[in-house]
Amino acid sequence: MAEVSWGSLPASPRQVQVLLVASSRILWNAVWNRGRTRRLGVLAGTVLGACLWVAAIPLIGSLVGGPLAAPRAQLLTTLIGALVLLSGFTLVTSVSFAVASAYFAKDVEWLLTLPLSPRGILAHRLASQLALGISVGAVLLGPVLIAAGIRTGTLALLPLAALALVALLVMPVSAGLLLVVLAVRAVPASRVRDATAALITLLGFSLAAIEIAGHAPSQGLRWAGAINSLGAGWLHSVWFPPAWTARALTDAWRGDWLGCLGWLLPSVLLALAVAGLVLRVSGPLYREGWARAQMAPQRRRRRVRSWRRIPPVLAVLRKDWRTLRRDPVQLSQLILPLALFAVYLLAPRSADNSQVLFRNFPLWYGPLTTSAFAALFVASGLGLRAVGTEGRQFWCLRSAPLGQGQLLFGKLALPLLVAAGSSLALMWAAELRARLPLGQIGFSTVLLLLCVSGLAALATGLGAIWPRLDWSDPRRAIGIWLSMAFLVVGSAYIGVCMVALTVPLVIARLGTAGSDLGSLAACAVCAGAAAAVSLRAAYLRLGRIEL
Amino acid sequence: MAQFADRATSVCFEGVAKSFDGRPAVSALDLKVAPGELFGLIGPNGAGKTTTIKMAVGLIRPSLGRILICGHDVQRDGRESRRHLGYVPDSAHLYDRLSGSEMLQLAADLHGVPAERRRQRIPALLEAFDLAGVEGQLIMSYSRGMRQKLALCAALLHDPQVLFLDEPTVGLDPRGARQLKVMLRSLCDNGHTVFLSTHALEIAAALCDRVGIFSEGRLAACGTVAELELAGRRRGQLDAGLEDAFMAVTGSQDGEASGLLAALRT
Repeated sequence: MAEVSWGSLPASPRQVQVLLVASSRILWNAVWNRGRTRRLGVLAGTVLGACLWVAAIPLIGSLVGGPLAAPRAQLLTTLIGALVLLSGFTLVTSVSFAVASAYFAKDVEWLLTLPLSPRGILAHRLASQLALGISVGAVLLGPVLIAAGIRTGTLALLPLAALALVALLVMPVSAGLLLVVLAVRAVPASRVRDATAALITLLGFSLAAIEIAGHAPSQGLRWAGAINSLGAGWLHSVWFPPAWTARALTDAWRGDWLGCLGWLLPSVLLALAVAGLVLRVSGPLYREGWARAQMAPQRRRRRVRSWRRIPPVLAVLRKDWRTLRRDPVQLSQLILPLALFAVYLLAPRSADNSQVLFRNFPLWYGPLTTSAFAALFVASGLGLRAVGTEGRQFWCLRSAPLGQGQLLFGKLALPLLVAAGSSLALMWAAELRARLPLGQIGFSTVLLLLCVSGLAALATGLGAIWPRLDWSDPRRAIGIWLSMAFLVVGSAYIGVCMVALTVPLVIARLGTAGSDLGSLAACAVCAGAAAAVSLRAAYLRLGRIEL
Repeated sequence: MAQFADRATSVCFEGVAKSFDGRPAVSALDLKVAPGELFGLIGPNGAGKTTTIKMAVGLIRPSLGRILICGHDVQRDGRESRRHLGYVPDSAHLYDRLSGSEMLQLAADLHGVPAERRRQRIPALLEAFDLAGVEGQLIMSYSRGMRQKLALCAALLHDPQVLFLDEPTVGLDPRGARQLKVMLRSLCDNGHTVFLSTHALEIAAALCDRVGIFSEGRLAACGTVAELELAGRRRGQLDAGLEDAFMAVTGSQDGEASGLLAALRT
């Protein structure tokens, strides 16, 4: 009997269409068919989002007015730079998306057992990513395109401008998919996923570090200059696709629809050719790579070093620490903000900035505030997810004789230690650089520890109240809205702490003694109140969670 | 042997009911399981077996009634009741980034197993379930069967008085399944209680002292295998086995099988 070569099966458009319809149905059910409360929430969120989206258009219109009125060559240079950055960002994020959707999605195994071409499955993944990208683009870039269209009186050409952008983004998305399929042929998919996280972290760090290190209060953002210089180099060449899109957009905003079509057509053709070529090349490789990924588990030998018994709270802490240090994705997310804060605190200009901002405060005030905000991101990355990262393994803890309080404190321990340790290291580095006396360093250390304790408790408590326990990817252990809400609540908490500890200092300046103790007490009250409220609510909630 | 072996019941359900969004999953469950008994729960998919076990181990709160494990109310005295039980779910999600031995250490710490006890028990359990030699590898590299065996080791580590197993043989190879059956029988012979749910009627027939048949959230029949078979014979089937009794109690008829065959032929 002739052996079937799966890679050579045709990727029929019908197959891709069926998969896309199923994906749309899944999305619709998740958004709309999950009960009345959810439906009302979605409706309210959509109306609010739509209002904000429409309200943003006139605001953006006033911002883009200047650049649009600039000479064509200058506008073109800026646009090319921006589109190159957008393409690069899309390429990096598409790698992460491709590895997750093509190798770690729950349905892949089942789909590969069906008489579907691997090329068809990849085409579906590519189309899903493009649909997601177009949705995000419509939300973020839609107001910009509409505002530009209104400003230049060329709103009728909006579809052409939008199509030019979509055609451009097809190329990095396809390239990202091909890169992943090729990489998984060489190394296991889990390693590619880990490397992707490190790559994104490194890229994000590099870009942000350049911006932070060179930024001064009197200057505008360095990005504007950087984008212009990027767009003015060899990328300006007419042989480079972002330059085609930039020219199509410029012509559209000048009302020259023939010129716009002239640049749009090659963009669309090239996008189709790239996507087709990527699917043709990667289809046969995909199935083999997936099979290899299944057969190449991570093997590591570890010996039990000790039979020593430790208390349950410490056992939970040790388990969380082991899990964290073996998960490059979580580690990357944790290290990135800390590294950026380190750059901010230790950059040559930051001392000048700090002196400007905090000239009427004690010398430790600036480093303390900045370090507390660094701890906010650690608390968000670890504390907020502390219970959520248990996911489907939560039964292990819940069926053990562990009290809710023990569980909560076990979960609080790691974020507290990491947030306190990292923020203290940052603050001490900045204070030693500023040659602060040891007494002041000690005093600010106690203040920071108090503030960070409350912050970690706040994060752990909030995360335990609304955990997501049905994820397949630990990064989704907490919803995006809760993360954003915590950044707001946590910032407000730090603000309150900093104001509260300042009041006794101001009073002392007026002639009353005992300012240091007053500051400590004020900070302790804020931290204690935040911790008590959030941990109590979490304690009650943990008792009601059903698995 | 545990301190509760002399009590009349190890597991006691008193008027237990559970509903999800108004739909009843378990209704009016009254059941007692004695120390040293191996009790099997069988029933069709969605009958309420897993919900019953999850309520007993404290993962789900009953809407009505109470559950006692070795005399301790699962809701009011959950921590104490969980000291006396071990639990293995139907699909054992374990911490992928821990090694097998680290997972067992965690379980031992959570249950407060003394150092000397775990020094003896962990290697013995790993040996018994053919996991010796792979305990240093991260769990992410384990097969489903190995995960199931590791979960069993973790559940047995603290020598629980009551062991709750949800579909324990799923994913196990024939050798592992055989070892498990021998171990469960031996546990019950030593006064421990095993409460398991299974779809494999031959396991229930061969292993369980008593079997409960769940149907639509109710305990429709309960007794020894011989009693259930006798009930089947009273319904007119002379050579009735546990399967026939199950079909009779759950309302499944041969006509359904004929319908299925007809559907497959279309």
